[in-house]
Amino acid sequence: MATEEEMSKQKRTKRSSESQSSHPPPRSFMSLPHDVVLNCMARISRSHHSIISLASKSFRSLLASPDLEALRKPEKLLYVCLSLKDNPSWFVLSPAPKQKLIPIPSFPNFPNQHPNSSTVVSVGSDIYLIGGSVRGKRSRRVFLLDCKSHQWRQLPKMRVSRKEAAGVVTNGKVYVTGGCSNVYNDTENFGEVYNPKTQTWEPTVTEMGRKQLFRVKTGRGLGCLVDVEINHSLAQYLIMVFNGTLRCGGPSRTVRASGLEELDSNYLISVANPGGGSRVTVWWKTYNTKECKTEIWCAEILIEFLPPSKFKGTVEWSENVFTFQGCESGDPDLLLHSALVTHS
Amino acid sequence: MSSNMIMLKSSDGASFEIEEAAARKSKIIANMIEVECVDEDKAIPLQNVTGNILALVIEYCNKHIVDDDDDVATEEASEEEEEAKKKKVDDWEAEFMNSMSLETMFELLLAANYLNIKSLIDLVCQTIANNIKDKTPEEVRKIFSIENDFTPEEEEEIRKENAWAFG
Repeated sequence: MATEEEMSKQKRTKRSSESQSSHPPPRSFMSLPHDVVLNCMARISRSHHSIISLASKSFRSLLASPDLEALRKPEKLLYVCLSLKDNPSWFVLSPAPKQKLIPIPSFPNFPNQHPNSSTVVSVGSDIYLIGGSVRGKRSRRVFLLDCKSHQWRQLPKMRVSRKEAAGVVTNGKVYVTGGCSNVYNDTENFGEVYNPKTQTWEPTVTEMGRKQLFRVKTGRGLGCLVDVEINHSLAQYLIMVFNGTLRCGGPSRTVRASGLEELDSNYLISVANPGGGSRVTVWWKTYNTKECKTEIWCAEILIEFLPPSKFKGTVEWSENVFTFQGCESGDPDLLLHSALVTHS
Repeated sequence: MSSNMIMLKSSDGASFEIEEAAARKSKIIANMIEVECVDEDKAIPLQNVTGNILALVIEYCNKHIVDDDDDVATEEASEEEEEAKKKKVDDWEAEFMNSMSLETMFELLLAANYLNIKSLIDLVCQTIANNIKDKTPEEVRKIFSIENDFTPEEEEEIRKENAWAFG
């Protein structure tokens, strides 16, 4: 709410601008009072910034200004790394309505290529890309994507090379477990923890890390764990895509989720639950061979347990989030990584 | 609440009669009424608002006085009624904004800002934000008459920085 002082200031600026010409030109957006311009811009999701900031210099500096950041509401955004034309490509999903994948600058030309089978976690507005496989070898390298500026940078290397390691964030620290050579089993180096404040990796023995080792090739979007409410308490179940359909259950037995008839005609490729809880995103492709275009589709599904042993999915939204030229159906992977990023 | 009528006069001399309850949506007018600078026989002059824009402001305020009165009875309203009422207001606001050119939106926003009508400022700002958000840089420039002040060299540099996954 504007204070008396602010109001009188606005009136003053208005009068002075009016006195300059009796026939003002058509009003333009940037000529509106500064606080009004900020009020409009603060309502635009951060996911759109990288594109609209290319309109002009003044627009770009406005979007980057601390005044604007102070006005913005906290926001959670989904970042994904998709395998497109066999290349890992990072995107941010713009919020509802009309969810769209917005490309973010590609992985920089560091001395090495984008690793495969890395571990991805988020801390606040930072995404960590940890270890993985580079030219067939396990890697110690760690990269950070700053989602405020969309800049990649390299972090101190891990103590041990890892791929498909389990990763979990607790109290702002990144715990990584396993995925290393067998020689480290039962040694202090089996798990390690990164402290962003001191920027160091230390060995750690933590049961929490070991529990997370339950792996269904989680890095490739084939399966994930969800917390589903049963009798007012939470139970953990496995959600996976198998033969194009969504299945739920435990490690020994899964059943097809009901209630997803509207997705039946599609061959689901990936599933993930970056936000935790009982919601998952599922991903698939459709091919337009006539125009040689590929559409990427995403749906968000709420999973419920129906006693004694069934699962029901409810599609909360389903959108064509990205379209690109090319219609070869060669690439079996789609979702490589996903992480929910928090802008406070 | 009294249903006193007051007169507002636009910068181009048009006079509008409006219920005091509706006029009080404007903090500025409410203040004037509080400190009794309103002469009952005289219209309140609004030097920064033209007649066509003032008509829109009044249309908005008239539509929204009812809501404030209803707020008192909120506790008794059921959730469904609340939702139905909110949807009705949302639909009206969508229709109200939908019929408006961008130029008019800017003028309306200036008027709402001057008159300090917070809910109307929020409505217009949100509509403008929705207009900007998923546009290309070229569309943003065109729609909002923003000049591209990047030099060709700078544009090239930005293009390199933003080597999109698919150019």
